[in-house]
Amino acid sequence: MEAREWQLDVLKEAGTVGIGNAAKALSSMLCDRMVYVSVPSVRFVPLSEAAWIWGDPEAIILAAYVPFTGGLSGSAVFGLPEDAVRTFMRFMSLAAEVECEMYSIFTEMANIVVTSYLNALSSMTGWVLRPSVPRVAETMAGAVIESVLALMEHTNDSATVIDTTFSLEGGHRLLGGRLILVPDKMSLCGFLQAVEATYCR
Amino acid sequence: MATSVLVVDDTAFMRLTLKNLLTKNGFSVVGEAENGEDAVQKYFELKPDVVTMDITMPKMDGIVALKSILQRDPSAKIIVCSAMGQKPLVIEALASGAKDFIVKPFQPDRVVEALNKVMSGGSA
Amino acid sequence: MIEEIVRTGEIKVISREGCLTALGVGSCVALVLYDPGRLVAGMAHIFLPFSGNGHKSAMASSFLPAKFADTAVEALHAAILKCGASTGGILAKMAGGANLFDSFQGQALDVGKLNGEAVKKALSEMGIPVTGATLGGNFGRTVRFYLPSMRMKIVCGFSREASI
Ligand SMILES: [Mg+2]
Repeated sequence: MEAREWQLDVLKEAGTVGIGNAAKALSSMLCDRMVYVSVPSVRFVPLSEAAWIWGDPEAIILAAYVPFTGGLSGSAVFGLPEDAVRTFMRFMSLAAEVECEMYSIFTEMANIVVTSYLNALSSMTGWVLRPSVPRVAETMAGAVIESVLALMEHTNDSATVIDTTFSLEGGHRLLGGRLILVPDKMSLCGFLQAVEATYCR
Repeated sequence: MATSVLVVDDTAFMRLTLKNLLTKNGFSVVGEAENGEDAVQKYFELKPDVVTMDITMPKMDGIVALKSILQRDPSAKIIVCSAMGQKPLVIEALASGAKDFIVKPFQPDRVVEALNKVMSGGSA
Repeated sequence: MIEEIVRTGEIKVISREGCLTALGVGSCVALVLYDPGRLVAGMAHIFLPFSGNGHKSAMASSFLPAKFADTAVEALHAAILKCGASTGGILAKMAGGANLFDSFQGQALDVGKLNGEAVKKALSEMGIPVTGATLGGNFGRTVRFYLPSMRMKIVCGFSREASI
């Protein structure tokens, strides 16, 4: 297998175990409702196309930005489109039997979902990956992605993006969200090596 | 007398969830803290029987707070309650003196059991 | 009317009639330089404030002309001159520079603010007057600049709108 192809494969596997664990956590927070996940898409996105990672750059989303450090460092973005926010928050409130301000519920949801994703990556490498406290914004998706990339330590003209989606049944339709992982380029190589060391022995 | 608990977590939602759950099960939540610094200060102010400690928090994380409390009071009973269920970190927390490590999202029974066990002198 | 989408790091120029659009601008700054006399306008979608510690050579690492504020202003100026603008009558309008994420510690880097400051500094060094600016806030914006009206229209979602 070609090196680049192999790298994509490893990142795809990382995305799969990550979103799998995140979905399990999400499901348990939402009274064990079924959470569906997509196959992750791993892309090298030029900076000029970053605003379209979500789809429509003007789509209003509720997003949590979670930078993380450790053997692998980078940024995670957990987001829900405008029309899914109420349902997710209501289900989470019901499950916990707690009435609370929406941003606080969302912050904890993002913390648990992103951390669960990182826990899975941790078990692939044996490394501790430390998420920071989620920072929340409710605005256009393009603005969120662009601002997250601007806050990253190493800004190249492109970013490696592990893009995963999840959804659950809300009423008669599927309500979906996204978890996007943008690893720091500098730490990716070590991560790939560590995964190889634990997986391919 | 009811067991007194200090609930430490940065989100109001999680503090409220734990407070409801514990109160319903006969515990008395005597205080809340939203970061590690706050937790250390409130611990020595309130001297609760048990602390539930989050890890990912602003200012000072829960592991640092746990170590800082245990250094001054080795008899402190602290149960970590965090989404960070990564093996090396769980080992570090328990080795540092945490009585138990509950991974979020948790089943309510798991939390109640952990507190009862700690109060009856057992450990994880 | 032609609508040119100006993506992150890009520069586009129009003349006589048309629209320059930057979609979902967050901490970036959408800067427009225009010449009212010749009806030429260009937009730069600026990503970061500096191209390194004052070393222009750091630009070599980027192929995007508007990636950094300090070099983007010059590049945009050159681009509109090339399309017929006159050195004397150039004016500027800009929007963006938001800080979307509230920070608990208040110590997080405010790239949006730095971007706005870097653009203003570059403009004043080049003697280009700013006729309208809406910067900051914690929300994204879509920015459109129209010729021949020379109006900049800003949409923020949640039905917040402005025109400068
Ligand atoms: Mg927390």
